[in-house]
Amino acid sequence: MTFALAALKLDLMESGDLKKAKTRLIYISLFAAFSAIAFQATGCRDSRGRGTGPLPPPPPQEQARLSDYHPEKAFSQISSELATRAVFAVEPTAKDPYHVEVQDVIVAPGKEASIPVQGAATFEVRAGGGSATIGARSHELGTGSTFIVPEGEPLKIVAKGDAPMTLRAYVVRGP
Amino acid sequence: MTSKDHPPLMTLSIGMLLLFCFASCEREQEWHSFHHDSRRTSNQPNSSALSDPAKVPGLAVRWTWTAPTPGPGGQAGFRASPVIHDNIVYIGNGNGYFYALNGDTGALLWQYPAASSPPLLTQFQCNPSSYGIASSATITKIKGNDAVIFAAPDQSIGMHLGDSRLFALDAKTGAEIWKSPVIARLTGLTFGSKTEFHENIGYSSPIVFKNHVYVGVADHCDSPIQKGRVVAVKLETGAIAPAFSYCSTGTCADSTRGGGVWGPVAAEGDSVYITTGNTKSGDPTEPSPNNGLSMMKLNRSTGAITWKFQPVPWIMDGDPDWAAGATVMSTSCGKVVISTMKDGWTHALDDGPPVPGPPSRRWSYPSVTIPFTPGDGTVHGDTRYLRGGAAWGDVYVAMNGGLNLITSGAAGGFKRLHAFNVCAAEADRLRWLIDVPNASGTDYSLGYPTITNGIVYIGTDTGHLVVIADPSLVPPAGFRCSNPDVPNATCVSLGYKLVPQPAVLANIALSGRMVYNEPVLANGRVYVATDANNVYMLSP
Repeated sequence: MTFALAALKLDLMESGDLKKAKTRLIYISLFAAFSAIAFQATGCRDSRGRGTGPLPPPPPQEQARLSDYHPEKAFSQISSELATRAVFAVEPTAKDPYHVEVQDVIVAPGKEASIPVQGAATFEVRAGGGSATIGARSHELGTGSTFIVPEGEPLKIVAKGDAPMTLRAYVVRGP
Repeated sequence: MTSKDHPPLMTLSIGMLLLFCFASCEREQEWHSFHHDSRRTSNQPNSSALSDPAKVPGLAVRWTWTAPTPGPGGQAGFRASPVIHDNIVYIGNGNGYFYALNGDTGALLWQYPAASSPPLLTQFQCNPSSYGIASSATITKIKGNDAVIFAAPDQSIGMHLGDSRLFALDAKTGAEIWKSPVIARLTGLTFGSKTEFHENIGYSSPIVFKNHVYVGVADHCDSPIQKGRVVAVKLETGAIAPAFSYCSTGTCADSTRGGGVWGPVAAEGDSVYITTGNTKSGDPTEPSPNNGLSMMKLNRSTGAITWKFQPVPWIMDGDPDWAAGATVMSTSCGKVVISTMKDGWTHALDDGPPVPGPPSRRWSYPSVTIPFTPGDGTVHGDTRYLRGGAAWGDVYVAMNGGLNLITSGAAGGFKRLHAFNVCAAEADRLRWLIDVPNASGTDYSLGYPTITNGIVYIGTDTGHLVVIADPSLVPPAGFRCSNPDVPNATCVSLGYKLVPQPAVLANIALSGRMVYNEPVLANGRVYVATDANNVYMLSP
């Protein structure tokens, strides 16, 4: 289009005929309009990356239309701040009277949860951080921390920070 | 010249200008390389019916072409993806032949080598990267003529077992322009031998960049792992460019091994970008230097390392080859180099200036302290996050292990696509999440995603082509929990976020797995190949 406008300018300089130039300007404008329409029609539009900022925040949970997705190995919510799931369990037999279970635990961020432990357990922090109170003793926890809970001892976990705390528990219960 | 002469002159000028623009437009709708371009964005930036959510549901198969049944030593199926130029579809097959098809009809235009000639096969066959022509081609110009370049094994050279080399053919006729020297050596067939070379180009698709062709070298199914390399050849002649040298371990001449370059090389500016495979393979000591399991930026002229990002230390190397290759994104927060590692973590790095020094990590997902350390609860094994992602503005769409990666193990994400807000704050990192329908969830469930203006195309292992719309274009199917193991109804109270589950616009059953292939989006059409030996063209 630059070439055509340059030609028009040349034309004005040479002829000085403003009326003819105006006619040609209309002529060129028509071509420009045609070309714009043609580009749109043929899909030759480059809109790379426009509008790719974050999406609007989701509506509140109670108003959100939830998808039909359901986890294959879902956590069950025990209380507002705690969810657990059994990953693996071995039931006791006459020959081997121990109940063994592997559990995952989620504690909501900024919350304290009493963890029901049916037996002696070894815990491993898989994600997040916080503290554990076992009986009267407290320990700070971070990702990768491990700790032991004797059978019968109460366990409280506080999840600190913005992220939930995820733990894996290996629980053994005797006859 | 009088004023009366000008109208015809102007008409001619404008006509030529329009023709030029339309020709350019047509060309920009093409797909010249694996993942579309040298930055490996997998993004068709120009609008077409494929980016119109109202038209996508009308997608239907317009033609199907089936490759000839392989002869002795060949393996049926397309592991490569098509590239498109001048309405011609170019693709290599596991049978050892390279084909050019009419984009309108699927009619065969030419093949290489001729049907009467031996196919391009290797005698060392142990996994699909070793079957015939496994990597995708690239389109370029050589001495002013359109050319297509691809990698393949060739038993006519070396020890006649099937060393890998590059081939450049005239794009119109299939006539040979050049054949490179041996690039990946195969000097014996003894499984596990450490005295033979078992190198392979495999899945690494060549890329043309600034008068050179770059391609990665890995191995034949880790038997044993070989020294990873990147080789550059001169575009005009196919001769090895001697000034460029990159080897992943030790020196290029020593016996250390590992760091295979399985994925495509990306290129941008004065650099090429790669990801590398593992190095720990039974040897008692770590090679030095060890550039395995890394995402790297190399000087395109010399191969010297500008930066290296190595999240998994050698001691934790359980074979999480970084095979997806790097994507170089131009975003609102600068140039970002991004990829998902085989262990399920996606890492985004700020590219930084082209001078040697450590890269700046923008983020990892799931969020984690890098480098990983023994005892941190993470596992880095031979899992299957092998596919590169697709970039669209500030959005990156890819496979990822998900927020439950550490808790539930790596397998859960094999059928799942995550979209990430690359430049956003951590809390807004996850844009959307979907379990792709008709993906089985086993090791190889998904192919490579491609994208055009927010519409994502992906193939599955059950032979479905699935099309997904970014929620900015089409309202989502609903909201789901950012942690895939937490039911939607309890998500927020447990501290996770609800994120959109995008709408599926189309889900079309084809024949054959599409786990090695990307749906190519060119000229308003989808071209996709499957391991059932078919190439399909679909359009709305």
